[in-house]
Amino acid sequence: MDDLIDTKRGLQSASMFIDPHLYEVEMEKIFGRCWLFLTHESAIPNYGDFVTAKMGEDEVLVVRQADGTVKAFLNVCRHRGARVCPVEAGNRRAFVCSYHGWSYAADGSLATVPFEKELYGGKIDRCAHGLKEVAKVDSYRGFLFGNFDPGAISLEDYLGDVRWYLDIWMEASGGVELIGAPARSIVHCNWKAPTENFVGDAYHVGWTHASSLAVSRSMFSPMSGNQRLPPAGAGAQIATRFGHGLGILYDVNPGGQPAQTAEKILAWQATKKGKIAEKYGELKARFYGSHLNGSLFPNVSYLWGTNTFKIWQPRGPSETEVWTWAIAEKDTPEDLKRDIYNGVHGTFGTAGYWEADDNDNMESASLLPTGWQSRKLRLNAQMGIGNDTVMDEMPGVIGQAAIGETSYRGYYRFYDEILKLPSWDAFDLNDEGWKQQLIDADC
Amino acid sequence: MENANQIVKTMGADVWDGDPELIADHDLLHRVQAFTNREARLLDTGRVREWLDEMIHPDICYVIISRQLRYIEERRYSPPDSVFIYDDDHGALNARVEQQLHPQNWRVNPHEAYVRIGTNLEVTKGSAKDRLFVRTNWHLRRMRRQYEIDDFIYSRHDELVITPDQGFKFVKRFIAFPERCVQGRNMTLFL
Repeated sequence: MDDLIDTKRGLQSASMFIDPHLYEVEMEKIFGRCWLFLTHESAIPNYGDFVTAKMGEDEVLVVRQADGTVKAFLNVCRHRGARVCPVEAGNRRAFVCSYHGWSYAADGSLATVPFEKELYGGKIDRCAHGLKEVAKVDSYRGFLFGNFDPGAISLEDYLGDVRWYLDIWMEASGGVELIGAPARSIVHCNWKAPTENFVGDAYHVGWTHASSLAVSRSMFSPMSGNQRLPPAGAGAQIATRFGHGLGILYDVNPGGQPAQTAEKILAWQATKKGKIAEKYGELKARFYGSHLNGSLFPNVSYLWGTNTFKIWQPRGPSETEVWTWAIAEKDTPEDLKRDIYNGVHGTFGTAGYWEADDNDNMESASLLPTGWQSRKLRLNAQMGIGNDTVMDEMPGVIGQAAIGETSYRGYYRFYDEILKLPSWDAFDLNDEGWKQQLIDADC
Repeated sequence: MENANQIVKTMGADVWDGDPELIADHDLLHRVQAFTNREARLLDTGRVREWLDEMIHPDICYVIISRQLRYIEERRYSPPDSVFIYDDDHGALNARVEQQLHPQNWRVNPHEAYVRIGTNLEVTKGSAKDRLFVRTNWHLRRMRRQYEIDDFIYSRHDELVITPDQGFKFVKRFIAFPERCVQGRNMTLFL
C-alpha cells in the first residue's frame, strides 16, 4: 500500500487496477466511507417513489418518504438475505421479498412476517429486522448521495472546492436534470480507469477519438488525429481536496455534440449568458459556455458541454458497470432536450462511438497488469508537474493548460489519503497541506 | 421521452403483438429472405457503405431501446421506462459508417469479425401497400482482438419498402434489446 501512489512524483502503481486485495480495501475504505451518487431528486418526486442504486457492489433502495425526505436501504431481506426489490424504479408503500414474503414499509421498517404468530411465537424482534439503512443521505443541487459511514463529514464539506465549479452547471444554469432512465452496460476494466480518464484527460481526445472527431463535425473536430493542440490559455486543469477534479476547455460548450445540435445549444445558451454574468459574474458565465470534463471521487463522471453524466459501478477489480444519463438544463425546450439526449447516447451511450473508442484503452490498461512484470510498472501522470499553482479567482490547485494531468495527480493524492485514513475523526478539514503536496510535486 | 409501449406502436412493431395474417407467397418470402441474408453478409464482411447506400431507405428510422425494469402492475410511477440506445436517421447512420471506415478508427484495426445468424422469418402486410413488416430473431457474435467475444441475441422488427424494381429497402428497424445491462461492452455495430 505504501508504494502504490507517489504523489511527489505523479506516479501510480499499475497493480492498482488488478490487485484483488486492494479492491477489498477500496470497498471498505473508499466505498464504505465516501459519498456515493444515488440518483437525482427528480427521479423520485412523490411519496413511495423509489429507485434501486449501487453503492460499491451493494444494492440499495432509495425511497422518497412521507415527509419528503429520502432514505436509502440495503436491498437485502433481513431474513435470509435475498433481494427485496427486483426492479429499478417505481412507487411502493411496501416492499415484499419474493423468498418468504417478509415485507418492509417505505421507511424500511419490518411491516409483516407471514405466519409470524404461528411460526415465530412472538419471538422475532421486529425493530432489529428493518432494512439496513444507509447512514447518511443528502442532496446537492438535486443530486442525491449516500454514505455508509455515520462518522463521515457532510456532503457539502466533502464536495468542498469543487462546488464552485459544479454550481456553474448545477445552479447558475438555472438547474439541470438527468433525462430518463440510465443506459447500462458492462466494461471489462477497473472502475478507476474510466474515472481517472474523465477527471482530467484532455490529452487522449485528439488521438483516441480521432475517427469520432472527424465524423462528428463538432467543435472538437479540429483536434482529430492530433492535428492541432488547443492554443495557450485555452483551458485549465483543477484538482481539489477530496480528489474531485476537472478540466476546462474555454468557450467550446457544445463540445462533442454534433454540429446541428451544437448550433441549437449555442443559440439557447446565448439567451441565458447575460443573466448568468449579471448574477454570478463574468468568469462563471464564461465557464457556463465552456466544456468541463470532470469526476467526483470516487466514481462519478460528467461532461458539461457534451451533456453526459456517468457512474462507474465496480463489479470486482476487472469489471465495471457503466450507467449513462444525458444532462439538460431544466428549462431547455423539449425538442432541444431530445436532440441533446440523442447526441449523448450517440456519443457516450451504449452504442456511442466515443464510448467504444475509450473501451479498449480502459480494458487493456486494467487487464495487462495481470502480467507479473507489467504490474510492477509505474504509471505516469506527470504532464504539467511542477507548474501547478493556486489562483485567487478559482478554487483548488490549478494547472494552467488545456491539456495536463493536474487533476489525475489530485485524484490519486486523495485516493492514497483515504486508503490510509484510520477514520473521518482523524481527518482535519482545515489542513491546507494537500495543496502544497501537489504544488511541490516534481519529476 | 416516450414509454417503450408507445415506441413499439410508433415503429409499427405492435403488429406482432397479435397474430397478423402472414404472407404465404413463397416467391415473395424467398426474396425477403434473400434480402435479409444479403444484409447479414454485407455487415458480416464489413461492407457497411454498400449496406447503407443500397439497402437502407433515406427515411430510415433505426431504433434500439432498452427498457428500465418496472413491476408489471406499476401504476403510480410514470416516468418513461425506455432508454434509446439507437435513435438514428440516415444522417446518423452515415456518421457511424464513416467512423467505422475511418483510417484512424483504432477499434477496427485489426478487423473485428462478425457472424449473424438469422431465423424465424415472418412477413405480414406493412403500413402501406408497398410495405412489409418483417420479424426475425438474431444471434450476432462479435470477435475481436485476441480474446474478446461479445454476443447479442434479439428479435428484430423491420419494415421494408418494396421498390419499383421489386427489390426492397429497410425503412424502419426496431429492437427492444432484451438485456437490460448490455453485457457486450458496447453496441457500435449494426444489429
